[in-house]
Amino acid sequence: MATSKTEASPLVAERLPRIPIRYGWLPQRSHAVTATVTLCLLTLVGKCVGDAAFLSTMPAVRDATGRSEVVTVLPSLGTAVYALGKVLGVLFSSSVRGRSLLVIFGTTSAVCLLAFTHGSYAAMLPAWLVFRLFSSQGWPCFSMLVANWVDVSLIGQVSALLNIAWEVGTGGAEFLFGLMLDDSGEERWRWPFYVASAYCATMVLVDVFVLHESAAEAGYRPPLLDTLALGSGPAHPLQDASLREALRYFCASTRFWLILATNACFSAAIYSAYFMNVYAVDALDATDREVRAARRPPPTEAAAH
Amino acid sequence: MTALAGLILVYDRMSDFARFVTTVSNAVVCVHAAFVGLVLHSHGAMSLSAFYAVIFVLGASGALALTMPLGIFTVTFGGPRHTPTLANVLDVAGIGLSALAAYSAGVFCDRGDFEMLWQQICGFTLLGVIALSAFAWNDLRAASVAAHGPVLVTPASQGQYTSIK
Repeated sequence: MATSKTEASPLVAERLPRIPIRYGWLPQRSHAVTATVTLCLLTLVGKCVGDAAFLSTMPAVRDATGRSEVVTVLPSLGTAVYALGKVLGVLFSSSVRGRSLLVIFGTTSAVCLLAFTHGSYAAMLPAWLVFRLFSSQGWPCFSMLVANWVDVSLIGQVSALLNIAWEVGTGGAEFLFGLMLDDSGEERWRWPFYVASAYCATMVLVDVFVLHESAAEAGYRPPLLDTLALGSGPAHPLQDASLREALRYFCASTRFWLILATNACFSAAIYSAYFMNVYAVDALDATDREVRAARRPPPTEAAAH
Repeated sequence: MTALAGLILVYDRMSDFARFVTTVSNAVVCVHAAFVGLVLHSHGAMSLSAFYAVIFVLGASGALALTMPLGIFTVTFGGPRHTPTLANVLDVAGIGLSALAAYSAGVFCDRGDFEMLWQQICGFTLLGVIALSAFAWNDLRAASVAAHGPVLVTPASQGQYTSIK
């Protein structure tokens, strides 16, 4: 494994005259802004719709199963299926066809789920598990879009923007879920399904027109990058690497192991912190009520009457 | 979210050392917030308002400390082709440990043993902060050596990629 510095890929210049005309509709001047805004919108809507769908299943699954043991097991089962989706993602997401599958699976899952849930609630559990399997590819999908669209010099700003969109999407999901619960009628319930459909149609277009590469293009650099002259620096060391070479490259890096440990520990802390709502209700809210009751002056004889 | 918004304009213009200090200081604030929560709970001084304040600081500093380095590392280290592979590998480890953490947290909540729940959060946060600080230091060194191309250092990293072939 050599570590020599490489020059800018000559393939980039060679491919420029052969840019397919189908990418010509994208604005040339404000490409960075366009890419960033598009990514943020996709992130926001995707997270919002996906989380709302996820939240909407939980009460229904509880109603369908009706057993507390199953409800207790469900989060673990869902997490296991989610992890399985990640493992499958590792296996097939490095190829061009795998990336297409990644985009389609990661974004159409919300629609699939909402379509399922429109039917019988008894069928909720398998639909929910399928959703968990596919939705595991949401973040890898967005990371891939960032890696393909965004210039290296802007990666910090775009990451911050995307994280904000992610958080706003999470809040929006709660709002959407609230709308679903407010009215159990068909009319109001179904409109998130239409939003999700439009979102998935957009992502399929992204997949077809931006990420897909023909068999003639041997490299994995998307045509959009060359068309917009984004990231015209040297080729990435893993650009032509196979899955095995990439994994070996990751494992040889100290920073990979450190960020892996960081992510694992912080994720565990965040998952533990989810149970803080139990703490707030059981321990703090009850205590606050007792304190307020103790501070309240005892009712007088007249007030009691 | 506010903290992330503050970084939008400045992050890519910060020096290597400033990024290192930002990452580590946020991580230190995060672990301090967790331990403040534990101490307040242990002494019976935790109220709802104090709880909200602790959770707010914990969330703001934790999000800033984790999301930026993780997101940037995934994209720059994985590259256009292997970013989803790397994201999936990192998430498998995160979800594996999170499943165990969620199970034990659920057990603690069932028992009403919230002291242990706080200790668990503090323990994981402390380990995460140590790992993150080591990562940031390693990345700062990589920025000076430029052997593999730094990750947190974005503008300077251009032209420093190496080939594995």
